[in-house]
Amino acid sequence: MATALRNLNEEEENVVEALEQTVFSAISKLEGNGISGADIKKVQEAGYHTVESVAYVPKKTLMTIKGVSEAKADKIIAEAQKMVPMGFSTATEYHQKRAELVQVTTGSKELDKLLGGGIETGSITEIFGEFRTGKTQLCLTLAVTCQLPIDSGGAEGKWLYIDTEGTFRPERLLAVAERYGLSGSDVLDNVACARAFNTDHQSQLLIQASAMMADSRYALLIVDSATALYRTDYSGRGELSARQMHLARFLRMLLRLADEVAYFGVAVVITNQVVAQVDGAAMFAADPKKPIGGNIMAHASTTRLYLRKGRGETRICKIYDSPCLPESEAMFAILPDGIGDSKE
Amino acid sequence: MSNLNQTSELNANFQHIFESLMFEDIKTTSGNLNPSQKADIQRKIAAQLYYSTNSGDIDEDPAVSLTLYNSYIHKYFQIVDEQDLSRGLDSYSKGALALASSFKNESKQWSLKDLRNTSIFQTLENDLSKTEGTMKNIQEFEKTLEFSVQLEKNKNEEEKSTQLQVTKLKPCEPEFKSNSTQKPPIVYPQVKCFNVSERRAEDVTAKKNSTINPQIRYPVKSEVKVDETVKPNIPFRTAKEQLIFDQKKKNAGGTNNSTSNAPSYGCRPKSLGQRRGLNSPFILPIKDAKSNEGENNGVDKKKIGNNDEQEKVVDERLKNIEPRMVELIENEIMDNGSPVNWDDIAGLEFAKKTIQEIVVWPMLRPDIFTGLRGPPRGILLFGPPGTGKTLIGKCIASKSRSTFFSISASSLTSKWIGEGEKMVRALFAVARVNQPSVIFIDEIDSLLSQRSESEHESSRRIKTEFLVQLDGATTSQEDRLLVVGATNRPQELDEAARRRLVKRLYIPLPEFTARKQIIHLLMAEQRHVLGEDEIADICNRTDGYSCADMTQLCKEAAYGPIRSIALGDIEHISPDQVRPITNEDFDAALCQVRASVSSQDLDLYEDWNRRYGSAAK
Repeated sequence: MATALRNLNEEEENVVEALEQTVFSAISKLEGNGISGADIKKVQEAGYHTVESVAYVPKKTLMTIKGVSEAKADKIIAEAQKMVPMGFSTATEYHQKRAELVQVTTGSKELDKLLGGGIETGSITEIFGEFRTGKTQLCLTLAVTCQLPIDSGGAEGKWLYIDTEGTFRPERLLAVAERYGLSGSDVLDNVACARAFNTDHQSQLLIQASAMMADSRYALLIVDSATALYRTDYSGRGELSARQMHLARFLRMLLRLADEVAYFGVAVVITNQVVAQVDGAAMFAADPKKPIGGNIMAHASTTRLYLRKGRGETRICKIYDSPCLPESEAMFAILPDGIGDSKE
Repeated sequence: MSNLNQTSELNANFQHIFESLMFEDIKTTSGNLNPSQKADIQRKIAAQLYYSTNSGDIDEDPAVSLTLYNSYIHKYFQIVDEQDLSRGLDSYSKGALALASSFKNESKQWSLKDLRNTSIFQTLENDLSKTEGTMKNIQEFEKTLEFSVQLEKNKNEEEKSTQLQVTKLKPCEPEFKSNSTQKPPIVYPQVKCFNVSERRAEDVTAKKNSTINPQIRYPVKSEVKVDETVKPNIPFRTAKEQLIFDQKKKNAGGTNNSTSNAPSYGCRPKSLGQRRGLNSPFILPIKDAKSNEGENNGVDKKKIGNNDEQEKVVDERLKNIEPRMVELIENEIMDNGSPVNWDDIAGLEFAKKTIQEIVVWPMLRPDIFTGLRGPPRGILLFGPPGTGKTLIGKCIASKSRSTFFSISASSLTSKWIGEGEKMVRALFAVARVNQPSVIFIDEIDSLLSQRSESEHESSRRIKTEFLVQLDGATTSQEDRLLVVGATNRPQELDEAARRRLVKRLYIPLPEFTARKQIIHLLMAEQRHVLGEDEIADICNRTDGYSCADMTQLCKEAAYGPIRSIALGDIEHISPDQVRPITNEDFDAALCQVRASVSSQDLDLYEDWNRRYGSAAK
């Protein structure tokens, strides 16, 4: 009896191990081979919770961690790179990997069709547009849909929300949960949200977010909006380069999460604000709105969606930039229970 | 000796305090103090009793004072746990909420430093300081306040338990004070009551169980502490916490009673059940197995049911058409006009026969009227105004037993570009769904006038859509759809429309017999003294009158007898005293009513009829 039980336990452990291997490898696996537990802890505190995350950072960054010398950093990186395949691979493998990616439905069939199934996990999706174009509403709908089972267009994961504008309203989640017939209290419990108060804090939160992602399964990370604080924390041309550098670092961190995404299966969605073009060119352009953040923002996000207001509750989404989607538009509507198809 | 003095002094002191407290207690029952003050007093009494009993201030039997204590503490619990906010504090649920929303349960008020400043502590201190022997007690007291276990070793078992109870009573004290005096009452009641309820549970155990590990006594506190060690590091919170926090903020402006406007959702009131925190694993938010199944199925069924229903209701021919438009068109279906018989139409035998042929017979024998014998799709009724075209339309409506649409330009045009065409399409789609159907368009020249370069684009599109729907690539021969147009400007019709309105019937001015028929029909309800000759005479004199003119003539003539009545008599005269209509009345009326159609107009119609019309022979 006892042996049977032990066998069962062992089996379970094996299953768990197998699971961990397929998903991601915790940084504690680096222990041994001349890397002490204390070092691991230091690295962990700096926001690196998986072997992948360590393998992907430059040595310089590792050295900025207090207590990690150059020699130590070398050793850590060498060990990490042993565990993480970082070389070339065939397009077939890539294709297979991409086929496994989950897409989170937006709630609107039209919009899903436009996006080829929904918001893609493993990449950064940027949503920008004027105020009242539905950026936040789209995010809040995603909060619920990402918790749906995978076969119903969800990603079976928790939702992490970094709020810079103070627009997070849990009531909206309840309304959307109602629509999908989910238990509202569980939906709310699966959501982690934090308010960011300045750009440094915003970056800080991201480090903590990566720690939390190592703890439990998160499907979606949303920063709403990514640039709002930068607009005010930095002003004028004098601080432009500092601002862009900071923003670039923030986006790099996001991108790092999105790189790990292949293991976590996390979709990263950021919203962005727009700026009106008031110079000469504006007279000829029909819609003189540009997303802020400049080229740094433009290059960092994988898919860019431009939202604008339609008639009444309808909104129009346009693919602004994407590696695979054609440039086209779709109409959706903001309904009392989240994003949906327009009735017209 | 000195010892005796001290105890008596202490006794007196206790008596003084106790009496004053009792006084207050009496006041509470009479005056209207708020519940927190009441509870405050009750607890002070209980505390005083307890302390005095244990320190040996009173030489009563400890059992007696214990029962007294129990009665007070019971009262106190009643106040605290009372759910009605006018009588109690209802802080049990609040305590649970506070714990759940990760509020710190331990306030600054709990620290010993603050405790020293409170009145009850000071009085106790004074009491104790009076005796050297009890000086030691203060230290012990402090120690017990710090929840130390060491002290217990010195004491016997019973004392141990009671002391612990005292310590637990004490820390609550300042809460109430501050509550009633300065602090906003939102947080404190929670803390306080929480401990109270906790204590109540312990109270029971304490009495029976003499050896209690003090560590177990504060399970909640230790839990909270664990929570706190985790919390400060993580700025994230779950959405539920955020929701509760938001709601708290909203309610902060109001009173502290949160039961009335308590969050309707998200907190399970009065349960200390576990709530998942940030670090808990992901749980699929699908509802519990049973309810979930039921609900999911319900939802699915509902959806499927809805679809089925909609499919039933919405014909596939209507699926591309906006429901709003379908509704608008369906409102044009005429089903309860005044019934009109073929006999009500005087003359026009050819027109009547043709229409019966086209409309009525195919209805009776659809098997015969197929293929080449299939009824035409369009009829145009044209002729001078007031000759009964509209009446024929009404007659078709009441006799054909088909869905009858009475359409005018207003029901098809819209202020939006493109909506007009869609309305036309919707009209034909609805008509097809409701076969057999007749679409009657009065004054069809307004819709289908000659297309020209100068006209507006939108009106042109309506026309073309109409033509396409009437006979285009999408129409099938089997559709039993009849378009009846009536106009008195046939020459202005578009040639394509003319082609589609196959039967073009000229509705001429009434002939002699028809006019006679009209007079007979109209005069039948009136008293008159007209002979056949006189009527024939009138009919002769009304050559060129239209049916409408004839009706007007008869009306005018019917006024004749009324006009002959003296002005004063009109009020009293009975209907049968009015004289019958005579020929003279018609003579007078003929001067008043003239033919409204000129002969040139008639020439136009006849010319058009000769060129395009379906002639009698």
